[in-house]
Amino acid sequence: MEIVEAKKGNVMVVELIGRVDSTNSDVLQARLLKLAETETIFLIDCLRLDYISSAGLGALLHLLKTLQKKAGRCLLCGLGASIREVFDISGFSKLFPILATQEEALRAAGTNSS
Amino acid sequence: MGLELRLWNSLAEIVKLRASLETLCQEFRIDPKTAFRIDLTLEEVFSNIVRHAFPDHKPHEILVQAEVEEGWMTIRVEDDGQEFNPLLFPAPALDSPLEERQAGRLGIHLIRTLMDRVGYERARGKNILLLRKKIIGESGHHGDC
Repeated sequence: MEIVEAKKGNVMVVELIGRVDSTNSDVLQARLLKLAETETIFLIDCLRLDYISSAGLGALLHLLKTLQKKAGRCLLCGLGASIREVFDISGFSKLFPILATQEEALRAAGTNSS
Repeated sequence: MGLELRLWNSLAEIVKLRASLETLCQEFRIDPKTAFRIDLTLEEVFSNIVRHAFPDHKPHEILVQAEVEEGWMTIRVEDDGQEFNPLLFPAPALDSPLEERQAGRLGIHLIRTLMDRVGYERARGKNILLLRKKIIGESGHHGDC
């Protein structure tokens, strides 16, 4: 797993690359929660994410719960078919706004920002 | 015509498990989408066992066997941990509000959804989980998968 971070406007873009599983989800969670101390709008770019298990979903859930406490938001983009299936089965597609591309997601994050 | 793996109850063993499954899936030309589902299911099964089956925190062996026959992959996972039948585990409420969501409940839900059949047996002090998945080889003509 590789995590690439880039601030675009007021959006914290976190790109996940490779595999997020039980062996590294705690690293991801720690990083996301650290970022959430100062950031409120997140975009998780999954374009180069090959795999995610429930452990990885747990890290995203923690982020979302943390953000909710300070009226923050988290969007997703770039989900491949298999990754999308994991989100759908888990009911996570209803928790996160999911957009096709990073451009669309950044636009959505911008227009809806309060 | 399959694999047999003896793994320790450590999450780091997932790397070995995944590598062996990948080889098996390639050998039988299992399509990437099905291979993904098998990969994910096995991680969920294995990590559940590692996290919850052994309150004694001692080393235990987990046996994973997989074979492909007549268009089905059958996977058998055996551990000597405390009795746990995932089929009796209630499905998580997928429409519940964010505050009530728990990632810990999703693993078993994924296993049951992604596999075609899931069976459980408690025998000789062991948990035996049987997973079956219909497989579609790349050369097959099964239409949309």
